[in-house]
Amino acid sequence: MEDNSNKHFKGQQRDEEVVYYSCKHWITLAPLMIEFVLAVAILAALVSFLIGVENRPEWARWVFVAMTGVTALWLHSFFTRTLNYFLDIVIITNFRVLKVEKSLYLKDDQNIVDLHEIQDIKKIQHGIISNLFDYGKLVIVTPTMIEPMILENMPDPERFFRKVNNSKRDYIYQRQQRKLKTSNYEYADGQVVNQ
Amino acid sequence: MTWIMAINTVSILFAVMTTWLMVRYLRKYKLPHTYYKRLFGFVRIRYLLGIYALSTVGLAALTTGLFYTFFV
Repeated sequence: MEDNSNKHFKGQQRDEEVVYYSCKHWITLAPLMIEFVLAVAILAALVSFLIGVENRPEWARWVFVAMTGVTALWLHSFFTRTLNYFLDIVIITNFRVLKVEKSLYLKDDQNIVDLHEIQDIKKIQHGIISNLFDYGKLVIVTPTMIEPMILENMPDPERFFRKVNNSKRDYIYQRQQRKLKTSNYEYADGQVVNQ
Repeated sequence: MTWIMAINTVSILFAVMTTWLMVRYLRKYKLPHTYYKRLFGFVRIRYLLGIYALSTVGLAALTTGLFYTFFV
């Protein structure tokens, strides 16, 4: 079993340990890869067209400059979105479930559900692609929240589902043990009575 | 030529800033960093940052070279 006790995240509480964590499934990167191939093809075609223009008029020079600007913008957008993919993670700790939606420049959100508040978890895995590559949606319902926590494109949803359930069970058991300890009184002869 | 140089300078500066922000975040919080080792079995964040740096510098060199060769 993997030891996650040495792993840390932003906003971690005292005595809180990471049980499981996951990025979204790699399939979410597929549109980016397709975009990359298309963009490189379009740019190569444009460059070869501009270079092939006879006598290379002034407008061709300005189109080349504009194309350089657009390409630079796209390149940064592409890599920033790829890096952002890695920062979007879901963490299960021994106290709660955290959905961290972070990007390098624009976003730093955290959606948190305490384990004891979880009323229901739904695993939704529809379609051929979803079942073939083993990813799906998880919906965590809590009575106190107006909207449920929705975790889209989670890899191995079955495992995530199991981890949340196990953590919840452990957490509830520990809370009960703590309550029992505080409500019991032990006499000097070792006899324990319930207060 | 001035425009090409200006665009590429801003582009390289932006890449440096993005890489610095990412590295700073990863050093501070160990969690996402460890996950990268698993993506497709071989993609690590430092490879990706390396490709990013190379692409930015490569684009600057390519556009400057093409402009100098064909339009100056």
